[in-house]
Amino acid sequence: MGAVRLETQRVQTWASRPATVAWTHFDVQLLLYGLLLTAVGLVMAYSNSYGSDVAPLTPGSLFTRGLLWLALALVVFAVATAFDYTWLKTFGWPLYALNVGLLVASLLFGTGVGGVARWITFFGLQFQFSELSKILVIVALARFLSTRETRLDSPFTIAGATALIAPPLVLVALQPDLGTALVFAAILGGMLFLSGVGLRWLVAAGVGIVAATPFVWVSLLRDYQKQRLLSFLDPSADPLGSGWQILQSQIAVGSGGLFGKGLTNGTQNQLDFLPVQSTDFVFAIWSEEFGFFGALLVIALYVLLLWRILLGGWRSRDRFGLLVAGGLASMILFQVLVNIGMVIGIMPITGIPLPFITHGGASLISIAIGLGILQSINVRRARAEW
Amino acid sequence: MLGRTDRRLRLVALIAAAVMAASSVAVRLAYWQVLEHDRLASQAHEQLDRALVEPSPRGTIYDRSGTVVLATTIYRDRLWATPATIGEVDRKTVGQKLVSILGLSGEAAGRLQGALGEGGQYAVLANDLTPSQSAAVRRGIEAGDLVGVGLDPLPVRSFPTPGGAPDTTLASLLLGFVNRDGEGQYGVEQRYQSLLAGTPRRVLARYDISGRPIAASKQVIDPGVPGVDVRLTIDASLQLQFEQELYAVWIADRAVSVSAVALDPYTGEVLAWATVPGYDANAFREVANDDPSRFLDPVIGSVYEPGSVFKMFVAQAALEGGAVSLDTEVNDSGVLVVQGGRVYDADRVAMGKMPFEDIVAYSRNVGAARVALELGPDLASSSAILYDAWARMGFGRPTGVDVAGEVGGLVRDPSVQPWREMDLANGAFGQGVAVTSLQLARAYAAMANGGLLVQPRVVEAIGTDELPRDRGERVISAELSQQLAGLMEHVVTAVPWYAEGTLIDGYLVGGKTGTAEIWDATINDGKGGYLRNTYNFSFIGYVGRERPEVLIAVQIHEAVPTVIRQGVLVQPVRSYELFRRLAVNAMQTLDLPPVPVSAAGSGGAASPSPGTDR
Repeated sequence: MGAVRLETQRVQTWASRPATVAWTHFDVQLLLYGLLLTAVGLVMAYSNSYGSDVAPLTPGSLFTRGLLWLALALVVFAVATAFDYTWLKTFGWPLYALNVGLLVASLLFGTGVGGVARWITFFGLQFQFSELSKILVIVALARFLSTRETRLDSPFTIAGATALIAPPLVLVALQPDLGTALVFAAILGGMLFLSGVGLRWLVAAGVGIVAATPFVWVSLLRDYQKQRLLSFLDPSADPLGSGWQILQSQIAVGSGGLFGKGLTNGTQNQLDFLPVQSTDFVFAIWSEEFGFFGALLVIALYVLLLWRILLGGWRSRDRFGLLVAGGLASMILFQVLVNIGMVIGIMPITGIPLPFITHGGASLISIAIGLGILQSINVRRARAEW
Repeated sequence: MLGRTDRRLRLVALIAAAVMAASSVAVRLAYWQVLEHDRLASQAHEQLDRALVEPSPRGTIYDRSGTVVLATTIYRDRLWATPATIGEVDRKTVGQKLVSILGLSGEAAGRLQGALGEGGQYAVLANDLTPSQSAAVRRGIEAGDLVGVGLDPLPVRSFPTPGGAPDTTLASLLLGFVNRDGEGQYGVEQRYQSLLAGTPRRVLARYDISGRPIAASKQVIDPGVPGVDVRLTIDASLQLQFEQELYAVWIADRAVSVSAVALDPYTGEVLAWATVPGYDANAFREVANDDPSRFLDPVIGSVYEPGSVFKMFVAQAALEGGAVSLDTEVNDSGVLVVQGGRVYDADRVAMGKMPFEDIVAYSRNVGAARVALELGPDLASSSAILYDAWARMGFGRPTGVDVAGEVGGLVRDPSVQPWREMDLANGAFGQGVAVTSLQLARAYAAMANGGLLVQPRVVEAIGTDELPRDRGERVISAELSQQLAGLMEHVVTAVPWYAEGTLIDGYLVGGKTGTAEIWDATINDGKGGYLRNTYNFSFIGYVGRERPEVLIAVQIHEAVPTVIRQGVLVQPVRSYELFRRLAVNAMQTLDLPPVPVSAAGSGGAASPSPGTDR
């Protein structure tokens, strides 16, 4: 009953204002930074496919596949921008159910390297639903936290948010994809922080996590995961084993120098010394081929992007908008920090992709959806300045 | 309750955290890309660009004529694989195809399959493929049946000339072999390693992750120096005949080894240098696995007690100092009691008084010992005189021949530790000293050539440069040399059985036999002792038309003769008979036809005065 009334009102509002008014609030900078970062990813896809069997400009190469995904992402972004984000609140529970359903399907039917269940193939395209799941989790958490405005100081708010995020997190961890599970946790932490939850409860939760670490080490981590963490602490102990990637990453980045070796001239990359160049270690290749200044450019783009995202949240007319922006920012910040931190040897090796840049359709599409929602929040804030 | 202002603060806190994180990342990047750049760049350079050392073609070894190739370099393929680039199923089928091409079975087949199955970046599957195996692999690669494998030609030393004994290559022990790293091992290959190998080509190449150089990136930084060809003094046909003769004797006399060296007594050039058993130098690995001691060349690499061939040095010392002359009567009493023990003749028979030349000819131990004891006024000076004769003839130190692995022998210096009478007496007939065959050959050459100690050598020319001929160093007078050469001729003419076994119509022949018991330090509970019924037989002598032209030293090592009675040993081929066979070969091969009997006398029996030709 209430929903129907609300909808009428919304349509009237939307219809009553000229389109140009709405689009003045469209954040061009946000789109620009996102596109520039995606371009960095395409350049890397070009470089990585340069020396491989499939030339960059032929169908099926990393580069042309990247272009295809970009086109798709732009469409998705436009649709999400035009879509009124308040509907997300309305369809909160169905979306949540969809999220869990997709993750269960991934577990049941997913394929992946080394016995993991990550990708679902349809129409010949592989799609990793855990990426989309991040956005859906952000939406679900934003919806939940925005309804607990008056009970933010209660530990049950934290408990409720944790309970909400637990099923998708566990489903992803079962794939097993510890990296994405950690991203979920970071989203949760960031959104709780921005929602205004009492700091003491957050601190208490943090202490609890630290206390649980030994238990996680003993009972949850697999041997290869422990090995990665250990080699992070001392990469030279086993330079040809787990420390190899860290050492090679260091050599690639360091040998790039101030200005880099130039596109496709990254020797560590082209001669395959660096493992998983197009995914986990893509930033090392970028740093090798474009040097310190190139690396700074990418980092600056991320900072600018985060600023625009959080600014969108700041200006949002409601708490839901703020929280979506906060979740998106937490997700990107965490992924960038962990991925780049891994490349420069200040974080252990985890398979967390670098947003926009790491080659992968699901990641790009999901972020496009997230940014689209944010633009939807931007263009619809005019009615009530926050 | 927290208000909206607080929430906005938290938003600012989040963006501040992002900026701080970005700053620390930038600092870390600056540290690596600016401060550590040089170190990391050179580390990248090191793992990518390495100097690739490609051996230059190794020099060929020719015989004296320059036409017979004794050792050369050929190219054989190495079969490698990059298992990581092919799938598991392909690895199996590729492995099976390779096993059948290479004709492997059992363990070897399993090893190949295993090397493929481990899935490494790069693995060497087989070395030294035969040309037909290489062709089969190449066909497979072209047809697409064999994936992830390739061939690299690698230089392999080849010894193309077969030796005189079955399953051997010619002059195997003299030449040595070349290992897979291109290093000469033993013999000429080791001694002339740097010349034969030259210096390698050095190429800077970029390597990929599998450790294979990328062909397009090669950049020559040092073209290297190709190996130099070496021409030996060895005559291949004489060498072959020597090996054939030695092989027959090795079988007949049940010896551990039989060796012979022939050299030009005036220049020290070695004409033949043979040992049976030799080995197939193309299959040196099997010998190495089987019994690496077979690589040791008995001609220079091991010492033995020479026995009676050493009586010539008592003669040298006695005639030089005037202690005796060739016709001085010496009493052979069968046994001689000296300080420290008794000296016996080998046959325990006393032959009574006889001229000194017959003491040597009939190899009387007691007579030789008696003369040795009277070389000087007292024991010390007699010892010093005999030791001096030995030392001048080069015993106790390497000859310096240009072959690797020479040992110097063992001769005790009486000025360091005085000899007892027994030591001197034993030394007179070659006991208590350790020498090599080549040392004996050189010393006898000095007696035969007019008194010059020459430097033996096996290399005639390096590239196109003939090596200068050694003029030798005077160690005894020409007169004494003539006397000693005559004495050697007397030995083989005066003693009927030597004459029968040694003389060659139309040639001048002289020499001396030696039979020595073999000391084995391991028997008698470690106290050591002489082996029963096992002997080293030696003969060193010269042959020529009108003067000594070739000197031949023969050693039959650890032969088991039939003992007729004390001191009388019978064996199918005696050392002096072997000498004659080799001497005949040498004369024929070196194109020295016999002198008509009228010109040189009838076999020398009637002409006891030697050296009339000089």
